[in-house]
Amino acid sequence: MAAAMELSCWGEGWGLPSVHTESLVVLAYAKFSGAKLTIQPVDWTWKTLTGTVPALHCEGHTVTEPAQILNFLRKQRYNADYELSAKQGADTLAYIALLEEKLRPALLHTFWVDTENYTNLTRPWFASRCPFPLNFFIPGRQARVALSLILLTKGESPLHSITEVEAKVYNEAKECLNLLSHRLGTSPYFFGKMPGSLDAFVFGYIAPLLKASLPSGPLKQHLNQLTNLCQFCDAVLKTYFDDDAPGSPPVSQDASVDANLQKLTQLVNKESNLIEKMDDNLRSSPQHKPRAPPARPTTLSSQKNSTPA
Amino acid sequence: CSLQSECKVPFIHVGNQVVSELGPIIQFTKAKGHSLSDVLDDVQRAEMKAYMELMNNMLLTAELYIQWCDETTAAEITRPRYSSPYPWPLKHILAYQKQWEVRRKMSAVGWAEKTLEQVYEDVAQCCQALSQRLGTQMYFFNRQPTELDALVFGHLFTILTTQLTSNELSDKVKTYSNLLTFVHRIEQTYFEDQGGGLSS
Repeated sequence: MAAAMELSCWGEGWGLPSVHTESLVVLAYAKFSGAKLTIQPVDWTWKTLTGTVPALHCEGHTVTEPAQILNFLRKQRYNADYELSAKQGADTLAYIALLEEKLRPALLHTFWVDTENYTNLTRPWFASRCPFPLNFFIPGRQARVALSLILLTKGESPLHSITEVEAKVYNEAKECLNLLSHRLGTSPYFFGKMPGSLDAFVFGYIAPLLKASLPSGPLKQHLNQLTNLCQFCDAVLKTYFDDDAPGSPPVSQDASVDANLQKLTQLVNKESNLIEKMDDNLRSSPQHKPRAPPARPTTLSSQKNSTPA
Repeated sequence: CSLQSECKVPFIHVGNQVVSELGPIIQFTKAKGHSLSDVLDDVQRAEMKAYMELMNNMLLTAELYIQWCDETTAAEITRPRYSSPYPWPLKHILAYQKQWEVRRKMSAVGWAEKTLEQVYEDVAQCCQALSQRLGTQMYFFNRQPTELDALVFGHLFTILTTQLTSNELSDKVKTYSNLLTFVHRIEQTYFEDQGGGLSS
């Protein structure tokens, strides 16, 4: 039943499996629904110029655009939304529309139009992932496409220049993030305990903003204040994208918790060893006044220490 | 008309002020103390905004596409209607300029490659979402209408009453009986003293 499926997308970076929003959406959904995809990063190939990204190749068909790819995966029986009611399905569509209309322009602006971010982060990253001589014009082309999308969809008269549109775009994005945060509340995912397509879309849009080290990021600062969204992002990364976790997510979550506990214990032990060494050095040093040693968490000697000579 | 060139329709004229477009009009009436969505909690307000964006994203874009990117409709209905207030040759220049603007916007949002069939499918999907959300309720939220109800009514009423080259768009909407009932009810409750309306 499962035909081999290949996904071309931008490669990993900034702590994420992909730095490109649309590619991330597809990757996240594939993990949620259990679809096995072979990832073909387009980095350092001429596909950065000719290919539409992301693109799913399966048995000779090619599907582009995240919404179409998700539909295709559902038809292949990889459906992360089967537990949703009809109303929740309708809500999913509505919230995805909200993301595209309100958040996407601001994200495009943050990464591709804001001069500081573009010059210091986005352009170097993408240029370093394109083969010569594409590295000279692919980032520029993406930036121009981003700018025209923002101006055409948001820059209706009397707003014509990008500086006037900026304020409007960022206000709408902050409102959108607030709305998402209200909707998520304290649940782990947007609908119940298992993630679906809306979670994939939100993750795809928010993760690059959260994880990239942007020099200029008013939107990122706003996002950092919405702790439930940040926790949602981190939870998805840890549960579904922790280095090769092919098994069912709850098992890998337990395993990673145990591993973390072990690491923590090791750290505590190392710290206490260090403290002991420092203390020994201090006491044996002739310059320092000898004083009673502090109470130690680990038991070394049960005897009470007498005052040193 | 000078107002037409400066403001976008719809607009309201209050004393010396003119406020145009739906969003600002809602804010303006809210500032005057009339708001429909105060009864909603935060989660419901988030849902309402999301559905309003769905309407903008799908229905509005589909309406623009059908009017300006479908050559038959554009030539027979839209361009003549758009250019009618202006003298020759201004009418042709303005009509083609508007068409060019809309087509540019369509290609920026990725709708330029869509076929008419795909656009009708998108409209059907949007109507299905609205129909599922409305269910058997009288309005989308509780028993009182909100901004979302006004927006949905505006779009669906226009689709159902505007004559296009084919009836496929209005037929798609008519397959959802609860939406049809919703539109009739609002028309009768709030607009019954005015003539004209939905035929059939």
